[in-house]
Amino acid sequence: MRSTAFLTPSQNPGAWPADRSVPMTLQVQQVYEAHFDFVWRTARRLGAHESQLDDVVQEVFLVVQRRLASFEGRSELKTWLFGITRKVVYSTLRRSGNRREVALGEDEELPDVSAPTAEMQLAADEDTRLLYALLRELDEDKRAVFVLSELEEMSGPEIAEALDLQLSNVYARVRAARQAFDAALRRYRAREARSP
Amino acid sequence: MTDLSRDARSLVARARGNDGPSLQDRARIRAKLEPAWAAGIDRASAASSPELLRRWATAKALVLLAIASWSPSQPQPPASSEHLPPIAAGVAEVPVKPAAPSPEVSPAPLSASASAPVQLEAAAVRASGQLAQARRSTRASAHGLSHGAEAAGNSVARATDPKATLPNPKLPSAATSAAAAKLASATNTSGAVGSTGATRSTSGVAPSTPARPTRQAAPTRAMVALVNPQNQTAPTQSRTEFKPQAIDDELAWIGAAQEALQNHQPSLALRLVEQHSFRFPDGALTQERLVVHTLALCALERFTAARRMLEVLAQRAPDAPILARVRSNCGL
Repeated sequence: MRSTAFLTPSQNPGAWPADRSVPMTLQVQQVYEAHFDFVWRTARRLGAHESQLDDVVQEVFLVVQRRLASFEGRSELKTWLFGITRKVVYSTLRRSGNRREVALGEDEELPDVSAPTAEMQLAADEDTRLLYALLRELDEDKRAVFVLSELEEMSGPEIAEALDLQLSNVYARVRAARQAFDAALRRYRAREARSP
Repeated sequence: MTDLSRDARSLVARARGNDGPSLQDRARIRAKLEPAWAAGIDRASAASSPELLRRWATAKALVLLAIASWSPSQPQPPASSEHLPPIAAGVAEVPVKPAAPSPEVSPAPLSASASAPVQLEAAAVRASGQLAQARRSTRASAHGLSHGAEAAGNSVARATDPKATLPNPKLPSAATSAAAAKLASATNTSGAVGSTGATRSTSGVAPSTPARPTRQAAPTRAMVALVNPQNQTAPTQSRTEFKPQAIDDELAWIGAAQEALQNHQPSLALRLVEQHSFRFPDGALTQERLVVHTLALCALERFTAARRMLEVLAQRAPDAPILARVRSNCGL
């Protein structure tokens, strides 16, 4: 299956956020309602621990409240939020000194996922847990670009905007991030096969 | 471009969409953020605007002056509406309905604003020294104290501005007066109501020159609401609407309560803070209200209630230097 991350808006409208022009009267509550889910899952995917998540998300929206007036709508609101979330997450991790400390399989709280059966719930939880563990094996830059391209399915230009990169650098980083993710998954599968 | 392996693509596709927040997560974080939204501004964001920071600082200086000047041993004169500011006069003359359930009972934790004010508090403590000094040096002139309060507030604003130099705690009164004079023209032209609270605070010191607030909106509304209790059904401040004006109105109420306390009229101060609590349940000056509320309860020798209020204050700002001062002044 081909990744849809770099399709144009006309080819893949769903992957292209509709809020290209942000009204200047935007209120922080509106931003919260529209993008809370995005901020929450981005914070988790970038490595915020469950115990830090509430504080991180809260801090992100306090920053949004302070800076919303200066947001000029020249960038996507979503990419702007990603930039804030990224800074808050990484600074929180730096403060707590656990940037890449949680190894695969450690007892992080499982996500609250509603599934029809217990087996499906368990499988979904396992997938999420594995995804997070593999993301933590990527370095900061690769993790950010992987989250945006593969999980948020953002386009190349959007990623360039969110991470303040040249477009050519984005493609190079996405390639490197995919390779690193694949390698981490292969290592995990190999460990899994060796274990009884 | 290198694509993901089939195994990785499959994992990403399965996991994507499974790691979102629950409705409970959304509601929990929203509840924590709502006080900051209702206030329209938090302490940290006050730093982004010199004008807002100055008003914050003025309110801080007023409350600290109240703490510094308040003494439980001083006799309490009979309450009189003479020379009271319009808000206080309205409260004194009209029977006040019991205050609505106070948000102090269950303050929402707000980690960012609870941890941020320590520096501002410390600077405000220093500035209150300047304010007191300005008061001593300009006792003959009500305007002098008014400007002194503004200057002290302005000093706090400068102190909390990372680009500015910290104020000298031993600033001579002449310098304070000069700063006040400079500020006065700016205040008059901008019509900021930060000066309203400060001006009002002078009337207790020099009743012969009753200072009228430059803007009457808040007192007028307050009077109407008190005379017509049905108008009190809804707070004037929306919880979801950003109202920069609200902080001015809040400052008018807190300033009047502080003045009543300073004039040894704790019953009046109590009613004023209850009115503030009703109108601005999660207002920007909630912490300042709690300080005046605690002091008023102490003055009325309602020590159990004062202790409870102090606990609420401690929950909101556990590291605030003002906490120790309130505790010490009240003997709690």
